[in-house]
Amino acid sequence: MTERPPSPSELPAAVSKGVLVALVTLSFALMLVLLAPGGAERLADVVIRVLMSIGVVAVAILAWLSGVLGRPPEAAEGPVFQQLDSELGSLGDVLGRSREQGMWLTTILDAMAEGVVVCSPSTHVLLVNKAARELLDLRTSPVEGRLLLEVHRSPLLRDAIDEAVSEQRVIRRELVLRRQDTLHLAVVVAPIFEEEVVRGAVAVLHDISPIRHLERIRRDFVANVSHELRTPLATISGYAETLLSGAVELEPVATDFIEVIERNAGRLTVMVEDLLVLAKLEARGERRSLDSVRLFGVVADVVEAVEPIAEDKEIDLVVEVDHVPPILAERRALTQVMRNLVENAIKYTDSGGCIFLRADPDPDNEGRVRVKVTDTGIGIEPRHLPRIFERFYRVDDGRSREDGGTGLGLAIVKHMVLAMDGEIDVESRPGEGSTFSVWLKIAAQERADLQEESVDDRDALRA
Amino acid sequence: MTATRYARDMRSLRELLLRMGGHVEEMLGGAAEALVHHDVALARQVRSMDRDVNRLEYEVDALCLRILGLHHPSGGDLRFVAVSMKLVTHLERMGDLAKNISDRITEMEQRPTTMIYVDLPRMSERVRLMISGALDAFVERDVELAEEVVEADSEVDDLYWRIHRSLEAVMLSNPEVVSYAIKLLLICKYLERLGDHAANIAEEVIFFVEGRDVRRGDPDS
Repeated sequence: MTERPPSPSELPAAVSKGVLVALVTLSFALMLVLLAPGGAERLADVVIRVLMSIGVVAVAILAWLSGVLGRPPEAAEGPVFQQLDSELGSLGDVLGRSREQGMWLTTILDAMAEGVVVCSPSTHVLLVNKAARELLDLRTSPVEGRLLLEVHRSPLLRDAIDEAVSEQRVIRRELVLRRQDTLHLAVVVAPIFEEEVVRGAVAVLHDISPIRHLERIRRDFVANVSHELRTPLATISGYAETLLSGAVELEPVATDFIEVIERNAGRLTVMVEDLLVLAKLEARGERRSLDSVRLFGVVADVVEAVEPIAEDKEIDLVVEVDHVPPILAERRALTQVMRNLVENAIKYTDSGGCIFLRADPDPDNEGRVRVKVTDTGIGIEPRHLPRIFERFYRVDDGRSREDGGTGLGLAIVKHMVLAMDGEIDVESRPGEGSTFSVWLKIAAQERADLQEESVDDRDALRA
Repeated sequence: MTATRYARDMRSLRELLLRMGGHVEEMLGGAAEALVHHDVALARQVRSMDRDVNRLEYEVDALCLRILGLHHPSGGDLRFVAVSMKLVTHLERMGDLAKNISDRITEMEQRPTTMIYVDLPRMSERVRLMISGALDAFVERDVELAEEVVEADSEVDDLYWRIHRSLEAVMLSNPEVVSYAIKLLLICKYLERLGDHAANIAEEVIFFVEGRDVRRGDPDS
């Protein structure tokens, strides 16, 4: 018994042996008590001793059993243990896999661009992925387990989920969230079935704001065009009517009136021309035929044309564009781009200011040149900057109109730059001035020459 | 049975109030966008939403009375019902104000030309943030957030007076735009009142959570 621990099959026999020993001890002790004189008085004493001996036996059995349980695992070679072991192992695998699968699903859901919201039939939130959290601007956390209306108050989503659950069909809606930037979400809600019982609903949210934004620009454009055209037209017809009803006889007044008519007709002409330029630029899908153009020549033409207005306002024009290689452009378009930018700069710079025209090789891309038009003018507030190249977008409505602007100049500039495979951007600080930057490609031949030059330089250095 | 019905009624009350708040937020957002883009169709849509807000007001009132009569709530629940009856009045008026903004927009004949357009969208954005802040504070029982909303009201008041002054200047220098400028001024006033109501809701939230009364008086007085 002490030499080796009992095998599991010996276990019941061993236990019964122990119990037998205890019973024999007990009966032997009782016999002794009954035979002894005055035994009844000592009964309590003896019972305690007997109980103690039973306790000793019990401890012995326990110690022996612990030997069985404490055996090293290699001893557990019986078929029962083997089976148990393998079952535990596979259970662990399954648990690990399902945890892995859960993580995997969460990772996929969070990687989705579409928002996913799962709700119970009572519209308690069960699951929300990362995109949904961002789209619906859910700041409370955790949202799971709360009522949908508590975390997102717009009734549309909640009602769609209600409808999907009660009517057991797919519901499609468009959710418009008007925050600082309006968000348009296409919402599709589908009921979730489990054994033909609805257990909830899953809503998928898809951001369609860019499409709606384009539609809005288009609508605004039509409204703007009709408004911009109507104003000078109304003036012209008003003054013409007055002339016809007799004013034409009053010499000085008649001349004034006709001048007003002429001025407004001129405004209309400029506007229609600008619109036609834009329409042409947009209609022409293919790239323009680009040549190698020397920037200096273009800038010289522009400066010559704008110098009189700059001098009137006592604005200095500083030009540093002669140290860049020829660029890939269409000469007429480039002239118009530069002219629009310089005229704009003059318009928004007070007397005594300064306008710089600079061109440098782009430090980030050696195949490009960056042309900058910088002014010391009134500057542009940051919130206008993203929209400044939109048609009819005016930073200062009254002022730009008084100056005869059509609201189309920068839109045309942007189109032309894009058509020449270039880029345009603006930086500005209110009160300090603005810088419009145009990036254009260096003409290919020139680029090859440049590379050769640099090779030559290296050779020269080596020599 | 009554316990579950009680819990269900309290939950419906909460949901109805939040739904009403969501409607008011949507109305203000729509009105602000309609103003900037002079979108008359959107303004009409906002106008029609006011009916839903009014209907919700009746529903909340009826439900509050039923809860009081049927379940005799006490403690926090009683305070919740009492605050709900006040919030519902504020929300209903806020719906009216958003409707008024839309009405003025539909009355404007055309998109504004020479007009200050900087401060007005800023003001409506501030007011929108106040309203959503007040309702968030209510849902989360967030006293700190409610206090922020109460403080933001003075900023909205300042914006109102600034716009008031510049509109006055515009009207003096350019009489042609007077009728348009008056409508803008009214819209400004509606926004300012919306801000007041949002601040009142925030004060009710502080009372509801902490039992502390911070009211500065009725916005109508």
